[in-house]
Amino acid sequence: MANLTFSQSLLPADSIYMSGLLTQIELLSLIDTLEVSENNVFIPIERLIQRTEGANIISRGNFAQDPMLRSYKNSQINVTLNGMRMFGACTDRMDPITSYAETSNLESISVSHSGNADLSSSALGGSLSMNLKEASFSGNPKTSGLVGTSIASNTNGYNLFGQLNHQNKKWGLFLQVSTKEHGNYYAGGGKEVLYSQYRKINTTANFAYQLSKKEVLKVNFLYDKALDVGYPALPMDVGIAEATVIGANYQNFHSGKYINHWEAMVYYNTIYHEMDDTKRPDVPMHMNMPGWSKTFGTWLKSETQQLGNHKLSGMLEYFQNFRRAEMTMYPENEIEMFMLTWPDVMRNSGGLGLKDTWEINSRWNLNSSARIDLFYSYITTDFGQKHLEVFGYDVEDGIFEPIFSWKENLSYQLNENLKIFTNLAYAERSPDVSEQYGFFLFNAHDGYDYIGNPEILKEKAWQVELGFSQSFQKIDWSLKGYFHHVNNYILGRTDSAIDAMTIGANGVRVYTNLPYAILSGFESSLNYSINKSLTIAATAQYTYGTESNGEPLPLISPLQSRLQLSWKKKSWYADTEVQWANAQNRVNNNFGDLPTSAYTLLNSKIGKDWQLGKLNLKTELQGTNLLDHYYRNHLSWGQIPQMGRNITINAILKL
Amino acid sequence: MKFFKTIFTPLLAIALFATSCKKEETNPGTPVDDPLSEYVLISETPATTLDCTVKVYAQEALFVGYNYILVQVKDNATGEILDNPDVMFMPVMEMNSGMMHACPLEQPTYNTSLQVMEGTITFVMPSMGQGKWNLGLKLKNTAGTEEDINIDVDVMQKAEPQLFSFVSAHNPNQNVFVALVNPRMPQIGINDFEIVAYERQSMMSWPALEMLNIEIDPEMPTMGHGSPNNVNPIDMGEGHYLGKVNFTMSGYWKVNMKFETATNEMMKDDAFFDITF
Repeated sequence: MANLTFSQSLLPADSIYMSGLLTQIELLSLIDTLEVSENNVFIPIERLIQRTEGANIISRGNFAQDPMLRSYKNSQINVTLNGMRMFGACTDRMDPITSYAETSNLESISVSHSGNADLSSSALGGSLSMNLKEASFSGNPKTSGLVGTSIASNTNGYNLFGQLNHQNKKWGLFLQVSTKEHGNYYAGGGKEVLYSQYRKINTTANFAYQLSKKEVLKVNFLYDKALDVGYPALPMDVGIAEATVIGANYQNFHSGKYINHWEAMVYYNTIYHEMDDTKRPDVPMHMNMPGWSKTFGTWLKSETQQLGNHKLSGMLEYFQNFRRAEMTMYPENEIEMFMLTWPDVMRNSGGLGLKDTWEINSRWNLNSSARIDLFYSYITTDFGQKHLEVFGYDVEDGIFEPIFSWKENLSYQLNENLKIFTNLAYAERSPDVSEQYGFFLFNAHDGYDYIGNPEILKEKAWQVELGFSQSFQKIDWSLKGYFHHVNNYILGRTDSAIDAMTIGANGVRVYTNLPYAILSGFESSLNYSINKSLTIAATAQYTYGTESNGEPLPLISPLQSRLQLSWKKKSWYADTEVQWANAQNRVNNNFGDLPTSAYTLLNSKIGKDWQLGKLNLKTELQGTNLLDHYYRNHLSWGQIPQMGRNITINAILKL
Repeated sequence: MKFFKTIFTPLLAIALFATSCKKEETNPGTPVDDPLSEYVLISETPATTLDCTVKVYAQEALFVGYNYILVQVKDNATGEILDNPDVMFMPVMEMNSGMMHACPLEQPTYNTSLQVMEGTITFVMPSMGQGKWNLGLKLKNTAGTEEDINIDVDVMQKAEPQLFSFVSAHNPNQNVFVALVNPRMPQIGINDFEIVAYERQSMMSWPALEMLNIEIDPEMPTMGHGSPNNVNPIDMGEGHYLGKVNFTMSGYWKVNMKFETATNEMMKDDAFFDITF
């Protein structure tokens, strides 16, 4: 994993880099393996993540869907932006940090599964890294630009972005500005889904400077602001969601006899998020719910030269995150009511990760990795601490939690065509701010107010995975199966002694540890190059989740599969895709799940590259859910239907 | 765990900007000349016979409910504040109808650090419009000479009543007066909930009412929710009952109360205090 972050930054912006160890960037190869960024650039970032192997998204609307990896979610997965930790500022997960990036400003998305997924992973459910586009260098100074736009029929909306890239021997600069605006979407059959609109702007800048032949300094800046975002599955919308990210990164190559390269980073990001109910009719009481999240972090990564048949890499990391969320209610003719929903929580974490890549011989490979993180969380104000007193907790001292993860990945090249691998991992996860200190956080899916539990224990998982991949001249395919036993799985338990705060809520749930939960499943993918211009790709994935008492875990996707036929000839290309999802009747009603019917979707696109003198123009006509099927994804909250037929016209002009 | 705080605090300082929401108001220790400066002066009255000046202080303007009263006696001859002077409260209300009555009180004891006699008076009625309150004090010097001092005071009714009275459902001859002692400064989280209960046996006799069984149930009427982990007030003696009340948020709270006799006969099941903060 480490070598991805090291190396990708020096590659030209539009090439795909795939390390042999990585199963990620499936999204890129699934859709179009060659022209990565341009072919995907108008697909929302969450939809791209959804296309990676083992991934899913939870929808609360048409914006800021919440990524899930093998049915792990929230803080069970480790999400980073260019190696920077960020944490959403909304108590109700209306702003997973993927919502603060844009597809067009990303170089790639890397997804890896289970505990100790990479050196930077301090969670047990895998890692999702968004890698920003960065400036690079070139012997011949050159400046290039790119303008892209997309118009969508369903939402009557548009995306627009512009990029500027300058490279020379000494320095490089990448700039991007993007904006998008979409109205309510319409489900299959033409039913309007109210409060599903959004607007967003994003600015990204990256400056790279070659300090010497072996040293590069990079500075990243990102500003993202979403306005007037509707969440049809929730009782409230969002007025403002705003993130500012700055980071500086130093890279040193060919560092010495033993050290191949090393890299250091310092970053800071701040998020402000404000919910808004002023546009909803029949609100029992107007509320204002702002949230803040501020993260400061730094890390050091290094990789050794090949030492015999070993190669070592390591990462040392520190970050701190402060979060506060407020709720003010305004009853008519009465004094306003106020409380903190995240009571001024500071989390500190220091971590050390090590990895050994051992080529035992030409057939056997063993990768061993381990990481330890020390988390210390506390409430910074007396006012915040008083909130937890309500439930009889004394939180003055804070909570210290060491988190440990370890993984062995053994692979065997049986013959030229067949490779077998197995993973064994033990991983832990620290409970997050909501689980430890949350104060009446309304969950619209099950309709309960959630309360944190400072005494909650960390989750601990044993994870086994087995798989193989076979490749022939025209066909390659792979199959992976996994079994995860998660002790102390964190879930809400109803406490009828506590009254709900939210008007109309079903009651109150306190985060608690189940004895254990089991997650198991498989993923499979197949690629078949019929001839030079025709390719078939197929995937399937399935997870089975169960609580220790035999009840199904909530929010588990049914069997999903996809078959895609891609065609390419000269400057023309097209593809057609069929997506299936089985019915999900194995549901947990207790947690708001309802059975979901099976559905089949048909997507298609056709495009052409035009060369107009020095200009390159790419035009594309794309249709999703062409049959205008009315369907609900099992992971959608609030029984909201997904988008119906959507025709988009995309164009990218390269200057 | 303090260890980690000490380690992380410097780091926290480095990322100072990350903690802008933190508010700590510390007043640098300015020397306080008058230890009573935080109190409200209610009156300053000469005691002519004993040649003293009597100052009466309270925590706030006098109100219907449980009032802390502080009395400072200064010897006019020496200019010294007297230690442990003999002071008794004898408040009387003269109603417009001509009737007179007293009210519940706790006779003062000496507060060494403030050099005052400190007690409480639970006014049961406002003065405005209904009559006149005389905060009567009886002073006695070391020689045994007594002097009664009459101080007319205004007693107001707070917008949020701090006292209520009821006739016991169990015993129609029993008039019960209940005043709120704490919380004075309610906050989100756990608060002491203290009340004091008295009985009016006659116009001039208001003994404390002990051995009651009291249940509390706070609620936010606007929202329709209550709060968990409240502790019912228990008898602390001399009419005081102490429990805990939890407020999950700021705003308008109604603390419902049920009063029962020592043998669990219902006296009143729909009493309440409104507490807004």
